[in-house]
Amino acid sequence: MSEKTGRGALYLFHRSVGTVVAFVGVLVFYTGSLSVLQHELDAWVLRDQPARSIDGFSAEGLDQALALALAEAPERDEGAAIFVATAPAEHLQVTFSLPDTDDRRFVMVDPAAGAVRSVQEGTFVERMKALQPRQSLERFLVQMHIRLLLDGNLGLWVTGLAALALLVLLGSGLVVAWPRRRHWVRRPRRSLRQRVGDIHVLIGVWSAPFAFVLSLTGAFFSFAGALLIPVMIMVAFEGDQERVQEVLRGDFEVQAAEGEASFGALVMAAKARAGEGRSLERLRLENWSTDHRHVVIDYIDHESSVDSRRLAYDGQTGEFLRELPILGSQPSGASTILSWISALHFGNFMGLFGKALWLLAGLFTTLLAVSGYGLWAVRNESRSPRLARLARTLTGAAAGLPLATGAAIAAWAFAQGPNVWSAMTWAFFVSLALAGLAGAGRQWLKRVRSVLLLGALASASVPFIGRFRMGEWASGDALVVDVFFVLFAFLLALGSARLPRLFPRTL
Amino acid sequence: MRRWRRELGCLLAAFVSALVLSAALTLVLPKGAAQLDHVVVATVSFPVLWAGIGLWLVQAAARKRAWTLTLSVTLLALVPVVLQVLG
Repeated sequence: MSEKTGRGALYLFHRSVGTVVAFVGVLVFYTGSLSVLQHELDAWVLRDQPARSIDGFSAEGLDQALALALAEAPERDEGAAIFVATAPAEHLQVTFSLPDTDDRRFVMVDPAAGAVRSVQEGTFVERMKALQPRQSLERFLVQMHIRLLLDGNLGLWVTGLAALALLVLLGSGLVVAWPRRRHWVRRPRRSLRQRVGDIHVLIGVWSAPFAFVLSLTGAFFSFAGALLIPVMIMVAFEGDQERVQEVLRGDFEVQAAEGEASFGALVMAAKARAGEGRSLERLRLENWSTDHRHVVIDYIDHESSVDSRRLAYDGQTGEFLRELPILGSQPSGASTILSWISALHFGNFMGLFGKALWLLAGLFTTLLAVSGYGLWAVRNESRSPRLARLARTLTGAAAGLPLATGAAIAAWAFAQGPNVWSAMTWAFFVSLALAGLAGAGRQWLKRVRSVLLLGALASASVPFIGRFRMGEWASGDALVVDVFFVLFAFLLALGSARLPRLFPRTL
Repeated sequence: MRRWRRELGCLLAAFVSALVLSAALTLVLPKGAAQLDHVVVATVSFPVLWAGIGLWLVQAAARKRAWTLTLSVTLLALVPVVLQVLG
Protein backbone atom coordinates (compact mmCIF):
# COMPACT_ATOMS: atom_id res chain seq x y z
CA MET A 1 0.00 0.00 0.00
CA SER A 2 1.44 3.37 -0.96
CA GLU A 3 2.06 5.87 1.87
CA LYS A 4 -0.48 8.69 1.82
CA THR A 5 0.32 12.32 2.47
CA GLY A 6 -1.72 15.49 3.03
CA ARG A 7 -5.46 15.04 3.62
CA GLY A 8 -5.33 11.30 2.91
CA ALA A 9 -2.71 10.78 5.63
CA LEU A 10 -4.67 12.97 8.05
CA TYR A 11 -7.85 10.98 7.39
CA LEU A 12 -6.12 7.68 8.27
CA PHE A 13 -4.47 9.36 11.26
CA HIS A 14 -7.84 10.69 12.45
CA ARG A 15 -9.27 7.18 12.36
CA SER A 16 -6.29 5.60 14.17
CA VAL A 17 -6.15 8.18 16.98
CA GLY A 18 -9.93 8.25 17.34
CA THR A 19 -10.13 4.47 17.63
CA VAL A 20 -7.57 4.39 20.43
CA VAL A 21 -8.48 7.42 22.54
CA ALA A 22 -12.16 8.12 21.90
CA PHE A 23 -13.39 5.98 24.77
CA VAL A 24 -11.07 7.62 27.30
CA GLY A 25 -12.08 10.93 25.74
CA VAL A 26 -15.79 10.23 26.10
CA LEU A 27 -15.36 9.24 29.77
CA VAL A 28 -13.34 12.40 30.49
CA PHE A 29 -15.71 14.70 28.59
CA TYR A 30 -18.87 13.20 30.06
CA THR A 31 -17.69 13.23 33.70
CA GLY A 32 -16.15 16.68 33.11
CA SER A 33 -19.53 17.96 31.92
CA LEU A 34 -21.20 16.70 35.10
CA SER A 35 -18.33 18.14 37.18
CA VAL A 36 -19.39 21.62 36.05
CA LEU A 37 -22.07 21.18 38.73
CA GLN A 38 -19.61 20.11 41.45
CA HIS A 39 -20.57 22.98 43.77
CA GLU A 40 -24.28 22.18 43.27
CA LEU A 41 -23.62 18.43 43.71
CA ASP A 42 -21.97 19.15 47.06
CA ALA A 43 -25.04 21.16 48.09
CA TRP A 44 -27.23 18.29 46.80
CA VAL A 45 -25.57 15.62 48.97
CA LEU A 46 -25.34 17.91 52.03
CA ARG A 47 -28.82 19.47 51.77
CA ASP A 48 -29.57 18.61 55.42
CA GLN A 49 -26.21 19.81 56.79
CA PRO A 50 -24.96 22.58 54.50
CA ALA A 51 -21.44 24.00 54.70
CA ARG A 52 -21.45 27.62 55.85
CA SER A 53 -19.24 30.22 54.19
CA ILE A 54 -16.38 31.41 56.43
CA ASP A 55 -17.92 34.87 56.59
CA GLY A 56 -21.19 33.31 57.76
CA PHE A 57 -19.80 32.78 61.28
CA SER A 58 -19.67 35.51 63.93
CA ALA A 59 -16.35 37.30 64.58
CA GLU A 60 -16.30 35.98 68.16
CA GLY A 61 -16.99 32.43 66.95
CA LEU A 62 -14.09 32.63 64.50
CA ASP A 63 -11.70 33.97 67.16
CA GLN A 64 -12.68 31.18 69.51
CA ALA A 65 -12.40 28.55 66.76
CA LEU A 66 -8.87 29.67 65.87
CA ALA A 67 -7.80 29.70 69.53
CA LEU A 68 -9.14 26.15 69.96
CA ALA A 69 -7.37 24.96 66.81
CA LEU A 70 -4.06 26.62 67.80
CA ALA A 71 -4.19 24.71 71.09
CA GLU A 72 -4.05 21.53 68.94
CA ALA A 73 -1.20 22.82 66.74
CA PRO A 74 1.78 20.48 66.31
CA GLU A 75 5.47 21.37 66.84
CA ARG A 76 6.34 23.18 63.62
CA ASP A 77 8.32 25.93 61.88
CA GLU A 78 7.37 29.38 63.07
CA GLY A 79 6.90 30.55 59.50
CA ALA A 80 4.80 27.58 58.31
CA ALA A 81 1.41 28.70 56.98
CA ILE A 82 -1.86 27.68 58.66
CA PHE A 83 -4.92 27.17 56.43
CA VAL A 84 -8.51 27.76 57.47
CA ALA A 85 -11.38 26.50 55.32
CA THR A 86 -15.07 25.87 55.69
CA ALA A 87 -16.28 22.26 56.16
CA PRO A 88 -19.63 20.42 56.11
CA ALA A 89 -22.07 20.63 59.03
CA GLU A 90 -21.10 24.27 59.69
CA HIS A 91 -17.59 23.36 60.87
CA LEU A 92 -14.22 24.97 60.19
CA GLN A 93 -11.16 22.97 59.23
CA VAL A 94 -7.79 24.34 60.35
CA THR A 95 -4.80 22.67 58.67
CA PHE A 96 -1.22 22.64 60.01
CA SER A 97 1.83 21.37 58.11
CA LEU A 98 3.90 18.75 59.90
CA PRO A 99 7.70 19.16 59.65
CA ASP A 100 9.75 16.90 57.33
CA THR A 101 6.71 15.14 55.85
CA ASP A 102 3.85 15.66 53.38
CA ASP A 103 1.36 14.83 56.14
CA ARG A 104 -0.76 17.50 57.78
CA ARG A 105 -2.75 17.81 60.99
CA PHE A 106 -6.42 18.60 60.40
CA VAL A 107 -8.34 20.12 63.29
CA MET A 108 -12.11 20.25 62.87
CA VAL A 109 -13.75 22.92 65.00
CA ASP A 110 -17.42 23.67 65.62
CA PRO A 111 -17.52 27.48 66.12
CA ALA A 112 -21.17 27.47 67.23
CA ALA A 113 -20.53 24.97 70.04
CA GLY A 114 -16.99 26.27 70.73
CA ALA A 115 -15.57 22.73 70.60
CA VAL A 116 -12.94 20.72 68.71
CA ARG A 117 -14.74 17.87 66.91
CA SER A 118 -11.77 15.90 65.61
CA VAL A 119 -7.97 15.95 65.17
CA GLN A 120 -6.55 13.79 62.39
CA GLU A 121 -3.22 13.46 60.58
CA GLY A 122 -2.52 12.28 57.05
CA THR A 123 -2.06 13.46 53.49
CA PHE A 124 -4.46 15.89 51.89
CA VAL A 125 -5.86 13.16 49.60
CA GLU A 126 -6.47 10.80 52.55
CA ARG A 127 -8.24 13.61 54.34
CA MET A 128 -10.42 14.35 51.34
CA LYS A 129 -11.54 10.70 51.20
CA ALA A 130 -12.21 10.48 54.93
CA LEU A 131 -13.91 13.85 55.32
CA GLN A 132 -17.51 13.01 54.54
CA PRO A 133 -18.59 9.77 52.75
CA ARG A 134 -21.57 11.58 51.23
CA GLN A 135 -19.27 13.89 49.30
CA SER A 136 -17.86 10.79 47.55
CA LEU A 137 -20.41 11.34 44.79
CA GLU A 138 -18.98 14.67 43.67
CA ARG A 139 -15.37 13.45 44.21
CA PHE A 140 -16.08 10.27 42.19
CA LEU A 141 -17.16 12.29 39.14
CA VAL A 142 -14.35 14.85 39.53
CA GLN A 143 -11.66 12.20 40.08
CA MET A 144 -12.94 10.21 37.09
CA HIS A 145 -12.64 13.38 35.02
CA ILE A 146 -9.21 14.42 36.31
CA ARG A 147 -7.45 11.05 36.53
CA LEU A 148 -9.91 8.26 35.61
CA LEU A 149 -9.78 7.09 39.26
CA LEU A 150 -6.09 6.12 38.78
CA ASP A 151 -3.59 6.95 41.50
CA GLY A 152 -0.93 9.65 41.35
CA ASN A 153 0.40 11.17 38.17
CA LEU A 154 -0.53 8.16 35.98
CA GLY A 155 -4.14 9.34 35.77
CA LEU A 156 -3.05 12.88 34.93
CA TRP A 157 -0.85 11.53 32.14
CA VAL A 158 -3.69 9.45 30.70
CA THR A 159 -6.23 12.29 30.73
CA GLY A 160 -3.58 14.76 29.52
CA LEU A 161 -2.72 12.51 26.58
CA ALA A 162 -6.43 12.13 25.83
CA ALA A 163 -6.76 15.93 25.76
CA LEU A 164 -3.74 16.24 23.45
CA ALA A 165 -5.18 13.49 21.24
CA LEU A 166 -8.48 15.37 21.06
CA LEU A 167 -6.60 18.43 19.86
CA VAL A 168 -5.05 16.51 16.95
CA LEU A 169 -8.39 14.78 16.27
CA LEU A 170 -10.01 18.19 15.95
CA GLY A 171 -7.19 19.52 13.77
CA SER A 172 -7.15 16.49 11.49
CA GLY A 173 -10.98 16.26 11.43
CA LEU A 174 -11.29 19.89 10.37
CA VAL A 175 -8.74 19.46 7.58
CA VAL A 176 -10.36 16.22 6.35
CA ALA A 177 -13.95 17.51 6.44
CA TRP A 178 -13.39 21.26 6.22
CA PRO A 179 -16.73 22.80 7.17
CA ARG A 180 -18.70 23.85 4.12
CA ARG A 181 -22.25 25.09 4.21
CA ARG A 182 -23.64 21.59 3.69
CA HIS A 183 -21.90 20.39 6.89
CA TRP A 184 -23.83 22.81 9.10
CA VAL A 185 -27.18 21.07 8.60
CA ARG A 186 -28.37 17.48 8.28
CA ARG A 187 -28.91 16.32 4.73
CA PRO A 188 -31.26 13.61 3.44
CA ARG A 189 -29.05 10.63 2.59
CA ARG A 190 -29.82 7.05 1.69
CA SER A 191 -27.18 4.75 3.15
CA LEU A 192 -26.63 4.14 6.85
CA ARG A 193 -22.90 4.85 6.45
CA GLN A 194 -23.57 8.25 4.86
CA ARG A 195 -26.12 9.12 7.54
CA VAL A 196 -23.83 8.21 10.45
CA GLY A 197 -20.92 9.99 8.73
CA ASP A 198 -23.00 13.14 8.24
CA ILE A 199 -24.08 13.14 11.87
CA HIS A 200 -20.44 12.76 13.01
CA VAL A 201 -19.31 15.71 10.84
CA LEU A 202 -22.34 17.78 11.87
CA ILE A 203 -21.60 17.31 15.58
CA GLY A 204 -17.90 17.93 14.93
CA VAL A 205 -18.54 21.22 13.11
CA TRP A 206 -20.83 22.59 15.83
CA SER A 207 -18.77 21.40 18.78
CA ALA A 208 -15.29 22.15 17.37
CA PRO A 209 -14.72 25.56 19.04
CA PHE A 210 -15.90 24.29 22.41
CA ALA A 211 -13.94 21.02 22.14
CA PHE A 212 -10.84 23.00 21.16
CA VAL A 213 -11.07 25.24 24.25
CA LEU A 214 -11.75 22.29 26.55
CA SER A 215 -8.98 20.08 25.21
CA LEU A 216 -6.43 22.91 25.26
CA THR A 217 -7.24 23.95 28.83
CA GLY A 218 -7.61 20.29 29.91
CA ALA A 219 -4.18 19.39 28.53
CA PHE A 220 -2.81 22.41 30.40
CA PHE A 221 -4.33 21.29 33.72
CA SER A 222 -3.29 17.63 33.36
CA PHE A 223 0.26 18.21 32.21
CA ALA A 224 0.99 21.34 34.23
CA GLY A 225 1.21 19.42 37.50
CA ALA A 226 2.45 16.08 36.17
CA LEU A 227 5.21 17.32 33.87
CA LEU A 228 5.37 20.90 32.67
CA ILE A 229 5.59 22.96 35.85
CA PRO A 230 8.46 20.80 37.28
CA VAL A 231 10.32 21.11 33.95
CA MET A 232 9.67 24.85 33.66
CA ILE A 233 10.76 25.37 37.27
CA MET A 234 13.98 23.48 36.62
CA VAL A 235 14.73 25.67 33.59
CA ALA A 236 13.30 29.07 34.59
CA PHE A 237 14.07 28.97 38.33
CA GLU A 238 17.06 26.59 38.25
CA GLY A 239 15.11 24.14 40.41
CA ASP A 240 14.76 26.56 43.34
CA GLN A 241 11.43 25.33 44.80
CA GLU A 242 11.34 27.89 47.63
CA ARG A 243 11.75 30.78 45.21
CA VAL A 244 8.94 29.37 43.07
CA GLN A 245 6.62 29.12 46.06
CA GLU A 246 7.43 32.72 47.01
CA VAL A 247 6.71 33.96 43.48
CA LEU A 248 3.48 31.93 43.18
CA ARG A 249 2.16 33.08 46.55
CA GLY A 250 3.29 36.66 45.95
CA ASP A 251 5.08 36.85 49.29
CA PHE A 252 5.79 40.24 50.80
CA GLU A 253 7.34 41.57 53.97
CA VAL A 254 5.18 42.81 56.85
CA GLN A 255 6.62 45.28 59.37
CA ALA A 256 7.10 43.79 62.85
CA ALA A 257 4.62 45.23 65.38
CA GLU A 258 3.13 44.62 68.79
CA GLY A 259 -0.33 43.19 69.40
CA GLU A 260 -2.64 40.75 67.68
CA ALA A 261 -5.63 41.66 65.51
CA SER A 262 -8.92 39.84 65.95
CA PHE A 263 -9.04 37.06 63.34
CA GLY A 264 -12.82 37.30 63.17
CA ALA A 265 -12.70 41.08 62.65
CA LEU A 266 -10.25 40.57 59.75
CA VAL A 267 -12.66 38.14 58.10
CA MET A 268 -15.57 40.58 58.47
CA ALA A 269 -13.46 43.42 57.02
CA ALA A 270 -12.46 41.17 54.09
CA LYS A 271 -16.10 40.26 53.43
CA ALA A 272 -17.06 43.94 53.34
CA ARG A 273 -14.18 44.72 50.96
CA ALA A 274 -14.89 41.74 48.64
CA GLY A 275 -18.51 42.87 48.22
CA GLU A 276 -21.80 41.16 47.45
CA GLY A 277 -21.89 38.00 45.35
CA ARG A 278 -18.44 36.97 46.50
CA SER A 279 -17.58 34.45 49.20
CA LEU A 280 -14.42 33.95 51.21
CA GLU A 281 -13.12 30.50 50.38
CA ARG A 282 -9.78 29.95 52.09
CA LEU A 283 -7.60 31.80 54.55
CA ARG A 284 -3.83 31.46 54.84
CA LEU A 285 -2.26 32.61 58.09
CA GLU A 286 1.39 33.46 57.52
CA ASN A 287 4.07 33.70 60.24
CA TRP A 288 1.27 33.42 62.80
CA SER A 289 3.67 32.67 65.69
CA THR A 290 5.86 35.69 64.96
CA ASP A 291 5.51 39.48 65.27
CA HIS A 292 5.09 40.02 61.50
CA ARG A 293 2.06 37.86 60.95
CA HIS A 294 -0.43 38.46 58.14
CA VAL A 295 -3.54 36.85 56.66
CA VAL A 296 -4.20 36.20 52.98
CA ILE A 297 -7.88 35.60 52.17
CA ASP A 298 -9.04 34.13 48.84
CA TYR A 299 -12.42 35.28 47.64
CA ILE A 300 -14.41 33.75 44.81
CA ASP A 301 -16.75 35.66 42.54
CA HIS A 302 -19.67 33.31 41.93
CA GLU A 303 -20.72 35.01 38.70
CA SER A 304 -17.25 34.91 37.16
CA SER A 305 -14.13 33.30 38.63
CA VAL A 306 -12.09 35.69 36.44
CA ASP A 307 -12.86 38.39 39.02
CA SER A 308 -11.62 36.33 41.98
CA ARG A 309 -8.78 37.91 44.00
CA ARG A 310 -6.91 37.64 47.31
CA LEU A 311 -6.88 40.19 50.11
CA ALA A 312 -3.94 40.59 52.52
CA TYR A 313 -4.30 41.96 56.07
CA ASP A 314 -1.71 42.75 58.75
CA GLY A 315 -2.11 40.21 61.56
CA GLN A 316 -0.93 42.62 64.26
CA THR A 317 -2.77 45.83 63.47
CA GLY A 318 -5.66 44.46 61.38
CA GLU A 319 -4.78 47.00 58.67
CA PHE A 320 -5.60 46.17 55.03
CA LEU A 321 -2.30 45.65 53.19
CA ARG A 322 -3.12 45.02 49.54
CA GLU A 323 -5.21 43.19 46.96
CA LEU A 324 -3.40 40.33 45.22
CA PRO A 325 -4.28 38.50 41.98
CA ILE A 326 -4.85 34.71 42.19
CA LEU A 327 -1.17 34.22 41.37
CA GLY A 328 1.91 36.28 42.21
CA SER A 329 2.30 39.58 44.00
CA GLN A 330 0.80 41.93 41.40
CA PRO A 331 -1.50 41.79 38.36
CA SER A 332 0.26 40.21 35.40
CA GLY A 333 -0.36 38.40 32.14
CA ALA A 334 0.20 35.10 33.98
CA SER A 335 -2.63 35.59 36.48
CA THR A 336 -4.99 36.84 33.73
CA ILE A 337 -4.20 33.84 31.52
CA LEU A 338 -4.62 31.40 34.40
CA SER A 339 -7.91 33.01 35.47
CA TRP A 340 -9.29 32.66 31.96
CA ILE A 341 -8.01 29.11 31.50
CA SER A 342 -9.73 28.16 34.73
CA ALA A 343 -12.96 30.00 33.87
CA LEU A 344 -13.09 28.56 30.34
CA HIS A 345 -12.43 25.02 31.53
CA PHE A 346 -14.98 25.06 34.35
CA GLY A 347 -17.55 27.25 32.58
CA ASN A 348 -17.43 29.64 35.51
CA PHE A 349 -17.65 33.05 33.89
CA MET A 350 -21.33 33.76 33.26
CA GLY A 351 -22.97 32.48 36.43
CA LEU A 352 -25.48 29.64 36.17
CA PHE A 353 -26.12 30.37 32.48
CA GLY A 354 -22.42 29.77 31.71
CA LYS A 355 -22.46 26.53 33.67
CA ALA A 356 -25.60 25.31 31.89
CA LEU A 357 -24.07 26.21 28.52
CA TRP A 358 -20.84 24.36 29.35
CA LEU A 359 -22.73 21.35 30.65
CA LEU A 360 -24.86 21.02 27.51
CA ALA A 361 -21.93 21.71 25.18
CA GLY A 362 -19.86 19.08 27.02
CA LEU A 363 -22.59 16.47 26.70
CA PHE A 364 -23.07 17.38 23.03
CA THR A 365 -19.34 16.90 22.43
CA THR A 366 -19.45 13.37 23.88
CA LEU A 367 -21.78 12.52 20.97
CA LEU A 368 -18.76 13.06 18.72
CA ALA A 369 -17.13 9.92 20.12
CA VAL A 370 -20.41 7.94 20.05
CA SER A 371 -21.07 8.84 16.41
CA GLY A 372 -17.40 8.19 15.57
CA TYR A 373 -17.63 4.66 16.95
CA GLY A 374 -20.96 4.20 15.16
CA LEU A 375 -19.30 5.22 11.90
CA TRP A 376 -16.45 2.81 12.56
CA ALA A 377 -18.97 0.01 13.22
CA VAL A 378 -20.91 0.64 9.99
CA ARG A 379 -17.76 1.00 7.91
CA ASN A 380 -16.36 -2.35 9.13
CA GLU A 381 -19.65 -4.26 8.87
CA SER A 382 -18.59 -6.14 5.74
CA ARG A 383 -14.82 -5.62 5.89
CA SER A 384 -13.97 -6.86 9.37
CA PRO A 385 -16.79 -8.35 11.50
CA ARG A 386 -14.53 -8.48 14.60
CA LEU A 387 -13.67 -4.79 14.39
CA ALA A 388 -17.31 -3.97 13.70
CA ARG A 389 -18.33 -5.91 16.82
CA LEU A 390 -15.73 -4.04 18.92
CA ALA A 391 -16.96 -0.71 17.56
CA ARG A 392 -20.59 -1.63 18.29
CA THR A 393 -19.62 -2.64 21.84
CA LEU A 394 -17.90 0.72 22.40
CA THR A 395 -20.87 2.59 20.91
CA GLY A 396 -23.21 0.74 23.29
CA ALA A 397 -20.92 1.45 26.27
CA ALA A 398 -20.68 5.15 25.40
CA ALA A 399 -24.47 5.35 25.07
CA GLY A 400 -24.65 3.64 28.47
CA LEU A 401 -22.91 6.49 30.32
CA PRO A 402 -26.16 8.07 31.63
CA LEU A 403 -27.30 4.63 32.80
CA ALA A 404 -23.92 4.08 34.52
CA THR A 405 -24.21 7.49 36.23
CA GLY A 406 -27.66 6.59 37.55
CA ALA A 407 -26.31 3.23 38.79
CA ALA A 408 -23.36 4.96 40.53
CA ILE A 409 -25.72 7.44 42.22
CA ALA A 410 -27.98 4.56 43.35
CA ALA A 411 -24.91 2.71 44.71
CA TRP A 412 -23.86 5.90 46.53
CA ALA A 413 -27.31 6.13 48.10
CA PHE A 414 -27.46 2.53 49.29
CA ALA A 415 -23.79 1.84 50.24
CA GLN A 416 -22.64 2.76 53.71
CA GLY A 417 -19.41 4.24 55.09
CA PRO A 418 -16.06 3.34 53.54
CA ASN A 419 -17.60 0.96 50.96
CA VAL A 420 -19.28 3.77 49.09
CA TRP A 421 -16.36 4.45 46.73
CA SER A 422 -15.94 0.82 45.58
CA ALA A 423 -19.73 0.41 45.29
CA MET A 424 -19.93 3.42 42.96
CA THR A 425 -16.95 2.20 40.91
CA TRP A 426 -18.45 -1.29 40.49
CA ALA A 427 -21.92 0.01 39.67
CA PHE A 428 -20.54 2.47 37.10
CA PHE A 429 -18.28 0.06 35.23
CA VAL A 430 -20.58 -2.98 35.39
CA SER A 431 -23.36 -0.83 33.86
CA LEU A 432 -21.00 0.35 31.13
CA ALA A 433 -19.96 -3.26 30.41
CA LEU A 434 -23.60 -4.40 30.23
CA ALA A 435 -24.47 -1.52 27.91
CA GLY A 436 -21.46 -2.45 25.77
CA LEU A 437 -22.55 -6.11 25.61
CA ALA A 438 -26.08 -5.04 24.69
CA GLY A 439 -24.72 -2.93 21.83
CA ALA A 440 -22.43 -5.68 20.51
CA GLY A 441 -25.11 -7.60 18.60
CA ARG A 442 -26.27 -7.08 15.04
CA GLN A 443 -29.36 -5.14 16.11
CA TRP A 444 -27.09 -2.61 17.74
CA LEU A 445 -29.03 0.54 16.88
CA LYS A 446 -32.15 -0.94 18.50
CA ARG A 447 -30.10 -1.88 21.56
CA VAL A 448 -28.49 1.60 21.71
CA ARG A 449 -32.00 3.02 21.66
CA SER A 450 -33.01 0.82 24.61
CA VAL A 451 -29.83 1.73 26.52
CA LEU A 452 -30.59 5.44 26.02
CA LEU A 453 -34.13 4.89 27.28
CA LEU A 454 -32.79 3.10 30.38
CA GLY A 455 -30.38 6.04 30.86
CA ALA A 456 -33.38 8.40 30.72
CA LEU A 457 -35.16 6.36 33.40
CA ALA A 458 -32.02 6.32 35.57
CA SER A 459 -31.61 10.10 35.22
CA ALA A 460 -35.27 10.76 36.00
CA SER A 461 -34.94 8.71 39.20
CA VAL A 462 -32.04 10.82 40.58
CA PRO A 463 -34.26 13.40 42.40
CA PHE A 464 -36.14 10.52 44.06
CA ILE A 465 -32.86 8.82 45.08
CA GLY A 466 -31.76 12.11 46.68
CA ARG A 467 -35.09 12.40 48.51
CA PHE A 468 -34.79 8.79 49.72
CA ARG A 469 -31.16 9.17 50.91
CA MET A 470 -31.40 12.57 52.59
CA GLY A 471 -35.04 12.51 53.69
CA GLU A 472 -35.93 15.86 52.14
CA TRP A 473 -36.41 17.36 48.69
CA ALA A 474 -33.61 19.53 47.24
CA SER A 475 -33.83 23.31 47.38
CA GLY A 476 -31.59 26.25 46.47
CA ASP A 477 -28.32 25.25 44.74
CA ALA A 478 -29.15 21.56 45.25
CA LEU A 479 -32.31 21.94 43.17
CA VAL A 480 -30.12 22.73 40.11
CA VAL A 481 -28.93 19.10 40.17
CA ASP A 482 -32.49 17.71 40.23
CA VAL A 483 -33.55 20.04 37.43
CA PHE A 484 -30.53 19.01 35.35
CA PHE A 485 -31.18 15.27 35.71
CA VAL A 486 -34.87 15.66 34.82
CA LEU A 487 -33.97 17.70 31.71
CA PHE A 488 -31.24 15.20 30.85
CA ALA A 489 -33.78 12.37 31.12
CA PHE A 490 -36.07 14.29 28.75
CA LEU A 491 -33.24 14.82 26.23
CA LEU A 492 -32.24 11.14 26.37
CA ALA A 493 -35.84 10.01 25.88
CA LEU A 494 -36.16 12.46 22.98
CA GLY A 495 -32.90 11.16 21.45
CA SER A 496 -34.12 7.59 21.82
CA ALA A 497 -37.46 8.47 20.19
CA ARG A 498 -35.75 10.33 17.32
CA LEU A 499 -33.34 7.53 16.40
CA PRO A 500 -35.83 5.76 14.06
CA ARG A 501 -36.26 9.03 12.14
CA LEU A 502 -32.50 9.34 11.71
CA PHE A 503 -32.13 5.71 10.60
CA PRO A 504 -35.53 4.79 9.08
CA ARG A 505 -34.33 1.74 7.13
CA THR A 506 -32.42 0.26 10.04
CA LEU A 507 -34.87 0.87 12.89
CA MET B 1 0.94 -1.74 11.35
CA ARG B 2 3.64 0.27 9.62
CA ARG B 3 1.35 3.29 9.41
CA TRP B 4 0.47 3.00 13.09
CA ARG B 5 4.15 2.87 14.03
CA ARG B 6 4.90 5.91 11.88
CA GLU B 7 2.01 7.92 13.33
CA LEU B 8 2.99 6.99 16.88
CA GLY B 9 6.58 8.02 16.09
CA CYS B 10 5.35 11.39 14.80
CA LEU B 11 3.33 11.99 18.00
CA LEU B 12 6.21 10.98 20.28
CA ALA B 13 8.68 13.17 18.37
CA ALA B 14 6.17 16.04 18.53
CA PHE B 15 5.80 15.51 22.28
CA VAL B 16 9.56 15.71 22.93
CA SER B 17 9.97 18.62 20.54
CA ALA B 18 7.07 20.58 22.09
CA LEU B 19 8.46 19.96 25.58
CA VAL B 20 11.94 21.20 24.64
CA LEU B 21 10.58 24.20 22.72
CA SER B 22 8.28 25.27 25.56
CA ALA B 23 11.13 24.87 28.07
CA ALA B 24 13.30 27.05 25.80
CA LEU B 25 10.47 29.59 25.57
CA THR B 26 10.79 30.24 29.32
CA LEU B 27 14.29 31.55 28.65
CA VAL B 28 13.29 34.07 25.98
CA LEU B 29 9.83 35.24 27.02
CA PRO B 30 9.55 38.31 29.30
CA LYS B 31 8.98 37.53 32.97
CA GLY B 32 6.35 40.22 33.48
CA ALA B 33 5.41 42.03 36.67
CA ALA B 34 4.79 38.88 38.72
CA GLN B 35 7.94 37.08 37.42
CA LEU B 36 5.69 34.30 36.12
CA ASP B 37 4.53 35.25 32.62
CA HIS B 38 7.31 33.27 30.91
CA VAL B 39 6.42 30.04 32.76
CA VAL B 40 2.66 30.31 32.24
CA VAL B 41 2.84 31.27 28.54
CA ALA B 42 5.35 28.48 27.86
CA THR B 43 3.14 25.95 29.67
CA VAL B 44 0.04 27.01 27.74
CA SER B 45 1.93 26.84 24.46
CA PHE B 46 2.90 23.17 24.98
CA PRO B 47 -0.36 21.54 23.77
CA VAL B 48 -0.57 23.90 20.78
CA LEU B 49 3.03 23.17 19.79
CA TRP B 50 2.46 19.42 20.21
CA ALA B 51 -0.67 19.37 18.07
CA GLY B 52 0.87 21.62 15.41
CA ILE B 53 4.12 19.69 15.09
CA GLY B 54 2.34 16.31 15.31
CA LEU B 55 -0.14 17.09 12.53
CA TRP B 56 2.55 18.60 10.35
CA LEU B 57 4.80 15.52 10.69
CA VAL B 58 1.92 13.12 9.98
CA GLN B 59 0.74 14.75 6.77
CA ALA B 60 4.02 16.16 5.40
CA ALA B 61 4.65 15.26 1.76
CA ALA B 62 8.38 15.92 2.14
CA ARG B 63 8.76 13.72 5.18
CA LYS B 64 12.54 13.78 5.41
CA ARG B 65 12.59 17.56 5.30
CA ALA B 66 9.89 17.82 8.00
CA TRP B 67 11.74 15.45 10.32
CA THR B 68 15.09 17.16 9.71
CA LEU B 69 13.64 20.57 10.39
CA THR B 70 11.85 19.40 13.57
CA LEU B 71 14.97 17.67 14.90
CA SER B 72 17.20 20.67 14.07
CA VAL B 73 14.92 23.19 15.78
CA THR B 74 14.54 20.88 18.80
CA LEU B 75 18.29 20.39 19.13
CA LEU B 76 18.89 24.14 18.73
CA ALA B 77 16.38 24.83 21.50
CA LEU B 78 17.85 22.08 23.67
CA VAL B 79 21.29 23.76 23.85
CA PRO B 80 20.28 26.80 25.98
CA VAL B 81 17.95 24.60 28.07
CA VAL B 82 20.78 22.18 28.94
CA LEU B 83 23.20 25.06 29.59
CA GLN B 84 20.67 26.66 31.93
CA VAL B 85 19.98 23.43 33.84
CA LEU B 86 23.69 22.67 34.20
CA GLY B 87 24.18 26.24 35.45
